[in-house]
Amino acid sequence: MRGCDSAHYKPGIPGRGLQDEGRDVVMRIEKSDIEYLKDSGLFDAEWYIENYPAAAAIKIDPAEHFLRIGVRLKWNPSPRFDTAAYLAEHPDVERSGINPVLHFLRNGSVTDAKAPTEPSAGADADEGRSKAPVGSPGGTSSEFRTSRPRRNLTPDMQRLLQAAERSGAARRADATYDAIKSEFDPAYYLLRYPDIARAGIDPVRHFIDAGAREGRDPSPAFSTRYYLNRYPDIRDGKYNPFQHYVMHGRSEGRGSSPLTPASPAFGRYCEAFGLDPKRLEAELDRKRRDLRERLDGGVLGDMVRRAEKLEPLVGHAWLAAMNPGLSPIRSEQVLSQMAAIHQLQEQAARRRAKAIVMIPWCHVSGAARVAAHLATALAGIYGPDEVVVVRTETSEMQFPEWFPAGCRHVDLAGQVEGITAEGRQRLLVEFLRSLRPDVIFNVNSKLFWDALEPYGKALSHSARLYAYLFCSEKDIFGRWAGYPVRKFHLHFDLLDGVITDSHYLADELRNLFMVPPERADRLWTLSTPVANPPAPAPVPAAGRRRPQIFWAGRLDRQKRIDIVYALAERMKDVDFRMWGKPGLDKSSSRLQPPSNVTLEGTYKDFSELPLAECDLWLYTSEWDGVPNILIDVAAAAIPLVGSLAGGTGEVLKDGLTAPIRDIEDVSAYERAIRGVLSAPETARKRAADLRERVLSERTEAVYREALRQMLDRGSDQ
Amino acid sequence: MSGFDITVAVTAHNESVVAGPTMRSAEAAIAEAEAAGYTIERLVGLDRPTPECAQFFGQPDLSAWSLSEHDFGDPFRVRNAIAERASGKYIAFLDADDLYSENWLAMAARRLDEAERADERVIVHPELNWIFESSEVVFVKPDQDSYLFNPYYLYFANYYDMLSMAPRQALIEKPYGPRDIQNGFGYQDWQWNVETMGLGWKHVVVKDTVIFKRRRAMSVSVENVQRKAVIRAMEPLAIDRVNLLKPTASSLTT
Repeated sequence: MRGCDSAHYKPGIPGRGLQDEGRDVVMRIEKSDIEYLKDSGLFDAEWYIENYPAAAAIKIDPAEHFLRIGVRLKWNPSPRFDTAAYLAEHPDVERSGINPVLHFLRNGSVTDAKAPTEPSAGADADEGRSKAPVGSPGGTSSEFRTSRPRRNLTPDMQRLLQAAERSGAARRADATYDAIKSEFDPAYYLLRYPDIARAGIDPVRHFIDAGAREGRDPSPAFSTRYYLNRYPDIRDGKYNPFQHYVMHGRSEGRGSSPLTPASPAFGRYCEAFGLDPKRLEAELDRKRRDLRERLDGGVLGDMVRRAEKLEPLVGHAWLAAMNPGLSPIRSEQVLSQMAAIHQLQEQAARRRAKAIVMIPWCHVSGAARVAAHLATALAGIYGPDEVVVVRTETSEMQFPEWFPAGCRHVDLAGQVEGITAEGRQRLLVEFLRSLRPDVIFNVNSKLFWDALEPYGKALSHSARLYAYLFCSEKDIFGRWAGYPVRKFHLHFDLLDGVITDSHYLADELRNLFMVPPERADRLWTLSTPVANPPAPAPVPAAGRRRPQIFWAGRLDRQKRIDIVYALAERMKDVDFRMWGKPGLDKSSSRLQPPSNVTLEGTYKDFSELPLAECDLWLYTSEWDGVPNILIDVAAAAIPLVGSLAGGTGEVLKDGLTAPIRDIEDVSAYERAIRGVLSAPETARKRAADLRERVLSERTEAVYREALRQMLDRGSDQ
Repeated sequence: MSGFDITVAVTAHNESVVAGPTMRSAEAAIAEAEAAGYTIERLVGLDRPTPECAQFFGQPDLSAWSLSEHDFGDPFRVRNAIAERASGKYIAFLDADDLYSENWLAMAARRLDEAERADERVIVHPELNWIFESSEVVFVKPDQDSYLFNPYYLYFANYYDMLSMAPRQALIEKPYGPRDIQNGFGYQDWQWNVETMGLGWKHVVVKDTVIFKRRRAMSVSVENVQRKAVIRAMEPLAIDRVNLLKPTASSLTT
């Protein structure tokens, strides 16, 4: 035995460079110490280089590196010796500056009970058992066994695990226990459920007896609650859920937690990106195991332990580290969002767009028609391929023919399964920004309106934003609601332009919100064009026939079918023919139509109607913008009697139609109708004049030019 | 410019004793890097420091650190300023309340050395983000060319955060953008990561290294979440460019 003072080290002093002090150590190393260390079996050069790659950067013998430098940094010579732990247990060695490994070699075999008795941890891991390293508290027990090195666990945790092992060893025979034991993660269970650790009971036994029932998880890879919720067929209690998974569920392809191939989000993700779910799962599993091994017994965990000595709070995240997030497979929500944006970009043909039109859906509605006119005008300005129409609330696309040929359609509503309302807003915003558009128009997309609140400012830096407003709505209690009421004041400052289809609404907004004159040019009224002007409707043949009054619209409260029915009761000599279907508001559908009312159902196109039989068109809405049906009727030169409500007066011109100012006055409607029926030629002449006026004011060219002006103004600003 | 290998740049604003563990971890990592033969420049950038913060970093035990004071109110602009004046070939930032793993500097520099020899433009990050204190989360970051890396994630989340070691050249070529939370923009680190990817810098992680990130009840990142901040729209994330962010494997199916 040689003297023990030949090799010294000094711990580093934070806040000062260490190199000068280190040189002092370098001078004291003797060649014989290096050889002694190499021969001791406690130094593993290959392991040392692999775990401390910095050592390889200096071209000296690894053993010499350890003695000169590594020991100062409390590095280990091999998995079999824990330098830091040895020094912690032998403060006299640390104070004296003696090399702890040499101290152990020269004194430990006689005075210390921590002599190594088994091969290195690396070999143990392959054999399914290991010995804690010399120096570490775990190394004091010859009973300690585990499936992998756990030298980075705290001594207390190791003691708890040993107690658990002993408790488990004394158990009675139990099929469930045997089935799950090998996959049960006692360290995870104890750390996650400290009550079990404090109780000092076998965690496996606890899980079988109570834990599963209480929804506790036996390992980070298995969620008991998820499994029971996802697979109700095993709730009969025949199997412990984890046992079921281990024995049957896994081979049946059942998922152990949300981020597995059994999850719809996981499946959507793999499908969108052409990934093999099994391969991805295997890769994730491999990565988790590798991480856990390196945390429990490798350099990674050692780094954490060292940091924990500087900041104890670091150690409180060990539990989180046992179930780490593996980006990007970290949440079902994000997986679904990633899959969705990929699919949306595919639908957009992976090309940019200059103009985007947001719509909720496309079915029979005035807003959808306006959106189609807008898209057509934008196609005329930018080119059809530069226009993308996005449906956000439902996938409905009943009238693709309304939109310009060559524009791209994207069904966002069809890609949002599993994504929260907030997540959909973000999805929409990121998709829109990825298109790199110049302009974005919202035509009644609720999702877009909602997304403007959190993301509007950011979005407005990427594109000019415009929004259509049509008319406010009255709720069932008579209170005003709808986008003009709810959204105008929130987003007017953000938007480059607010578009109305009626001067009426623009004026109302201007007055109600006191829009300052300098900002008034952000409010635009674009008169909805007549896309394909119909020929004047034929005049019904003269002769003995009952007059026919046509009406069309949603059969709901707004359209006031009660007024139509009241008129029909008064005018039994006239037939009322009504087209439409109930909307969301069913409060009017319980009304019984009088015998001279015929509910004709729906039509797809105005031209399908038997207009040659129509003597007069009746309109009874209580509130409105400029409804398309009025424009269609006017363009067909059919005499009109209708309520003045909101923007309807922009078609129901005095002298050319019979506008009703007091919309509740049924007698007024009756007088106007009888006036038209009694002088049909005059009425037709006026209708023809109205047609001429509407067709000259509401052309696609006029609309496009107004739109262009608005866009030019926006780009100037 | 003198020849330091690494500039360690700590940024602080209102941190005082909470930076104790930070500085000790930095010194431990520096010691290991020096043991591996690297020379280190120690810089601290104080941004509108509170009196307590200035007092902390002015203490004698930190005399090896060179202090600079700034008036940005934006830690990323401080980083840009430090990058301008740094003498190190590589720059490693550290927030004054976070901790390095002891091996970070040495192993990160070694990886950048390898990249330089291979004539690659590489920025390195720790393998783990270990979040502690007011929330405890650990997540693992993938290499940009790994099987798990998917560029579409960058629309919704950041893989790497601000903790990186980068050649000074990368920071000069692409400084961090300004903070603009009033207009809904945050996450300058996320933005910088995407921008540098777009410029051909490959982001990789260094095995067995960790950044320990202290999550405080109120911080820039918490404010970003609360205000639903996003990164700016950028060319690399355009519909026809995003797939190019996966550098080696041309598609996720490979």
